[in-house]
Amino acid sequence: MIRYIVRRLLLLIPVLLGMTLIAFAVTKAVPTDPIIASISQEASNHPEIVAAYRKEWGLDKPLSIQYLTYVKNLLHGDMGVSIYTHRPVVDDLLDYLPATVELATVTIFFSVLLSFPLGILAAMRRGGITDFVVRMLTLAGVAMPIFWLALALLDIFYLHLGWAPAPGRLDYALSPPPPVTRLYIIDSLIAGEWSVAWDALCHLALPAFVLATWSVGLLTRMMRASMLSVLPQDFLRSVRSKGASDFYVIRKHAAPNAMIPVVTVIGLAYGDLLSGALLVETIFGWPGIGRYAYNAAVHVDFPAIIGVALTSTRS
Amino acid sequence: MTESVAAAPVAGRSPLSRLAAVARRLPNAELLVGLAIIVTWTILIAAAPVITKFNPLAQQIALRLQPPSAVHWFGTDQLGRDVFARVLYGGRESLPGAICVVALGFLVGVSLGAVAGYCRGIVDDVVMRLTDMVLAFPLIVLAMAVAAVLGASLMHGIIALAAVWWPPYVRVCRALVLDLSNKEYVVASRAAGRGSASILLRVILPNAVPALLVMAAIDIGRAILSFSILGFLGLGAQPPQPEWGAMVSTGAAVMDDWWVATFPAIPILTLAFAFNLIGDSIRDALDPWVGGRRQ
Repeated sequence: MIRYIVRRLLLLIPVLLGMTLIAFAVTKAVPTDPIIASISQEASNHPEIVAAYRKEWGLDKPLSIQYLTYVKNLLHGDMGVSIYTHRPVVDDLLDYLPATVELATVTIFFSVLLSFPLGILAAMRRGGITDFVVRMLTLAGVAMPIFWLALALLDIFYLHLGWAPAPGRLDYALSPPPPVTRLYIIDSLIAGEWSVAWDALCHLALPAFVLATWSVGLLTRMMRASMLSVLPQDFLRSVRSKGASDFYVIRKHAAPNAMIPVVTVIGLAYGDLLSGALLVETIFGWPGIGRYAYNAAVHVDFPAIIGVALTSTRS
Repeated sequence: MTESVAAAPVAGRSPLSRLAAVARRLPNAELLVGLAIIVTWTILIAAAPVITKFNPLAQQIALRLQPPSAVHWFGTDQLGRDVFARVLYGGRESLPGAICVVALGFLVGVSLGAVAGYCRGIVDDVVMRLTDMVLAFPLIVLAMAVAAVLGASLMHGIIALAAVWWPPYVRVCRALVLDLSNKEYVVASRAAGRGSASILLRVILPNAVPALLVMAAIDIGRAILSFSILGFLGLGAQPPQPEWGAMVSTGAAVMDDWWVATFPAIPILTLAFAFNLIGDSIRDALDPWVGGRRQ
């Protein structure tokens, strides 16, 4: 087992290196010069300023040297400086990542809480009306263009009903709790600031709900399928033949076996939430990695794109 | 009773009779509903000039942000353009765009997967590691970066999505080719003196392609969603061209006039739903365990 784990981890190294190579290749294919975008119009008319800028950023060297320098720095934990924010990518990630981790964790937590019972129920009532309703709803969740859902809910619950707070992580009147984990809810609980924790939770509710439409759909469908493949198996018939109640059979024998493949998917779903988070964070003004990724991709910011990719890699 | 007879000896028969066996077991209602939704939208989009007399680009500033009415069925947007016409004509960007993404991903993925599965060894290793690398990226971020590098346009949006779309096809195609390579009829045709390329192209691939085509057909729903995401983020079709994702983005500024953003979202939702519905019924029919043990 340990040998297997070590082998898998070693195989990860070429994959991660390859990811940096792909991102490097993509960003270096830019027809426009990143320099022009970074310095003022006037400065770009002076060749000596452009040359100095190139030298400072190492852009005057051959591509192979640029890439090797980047990888060398990366191995030392230095992800370079973002071309767009002009800050070290590591600092950026440390700032933005906790907001997304908080959002994604709450989303996944409630998704699991909701989708496991729903999936089990649908599988037990296979072909019935409950099954049909659950399947159609989860199918709609997977097919939902969540950018529209986010806009619609924000309009209804914030602008019209006033039930949801304004976009952002916290009310403007409140100051963030002293950073320990940088997750606002946990930090404010540690500091004993109940009102801040409650406010952070309120701000989280709507974006988490929007993200969850997708993940509840996905996980419920997987749980149902997994449960259906467990239910007809022989060992369950044996348990039943001993006189165990339906509830006992499901809770103690069927559900734990059906959960195994779904739990492995949760890890992947967590990484996939980033695509959804990119839209939700942009719309809800959530200062997370999704919005950072959006800016990085749009501005073809190579160090930032790799930073995002490496922190949210699915392998 | 008849079902289990039809289901059991699926393996060694021609693709056509296998498809027939699958068709007999399909839970028809849901498949038909899914197909009906897709056919309806396709007809609406194809016959757009007949169905609506409005030009999707014609602006009538005096009639801006009109709610849905007998004249403007889906209302009008900020520039007084008819939303119904824009939704129908927008399908002419979104639907072919999504199909192109899947087709390109299919071509690249199946070619790479077939070569990897058939040649094995170093070629296999290189192709599969490359696939892992692209798969490891958050899909939409890489697609956005490619689209941003190429410059935002409809064509570049398609290329950007296709560039991240192929890896699943490599994996499935390689697995199928690996599996089929050991079949007796492949060994037999090798013994009969067929060349390697001919075996791969004429003997193995024809047996692998039907399953891959099913996978691609279902995939169109996901492509429509992803394509609309690129459009929403401004990296797909450019204004004034109508495209569903971009239209939702236009409507975002005037959410109180709900019809501007909501009606373009409906075809995205219903089409993605329909393709998933079809995928589900095919999967139910093919998977012996999910189908429940037959007595």
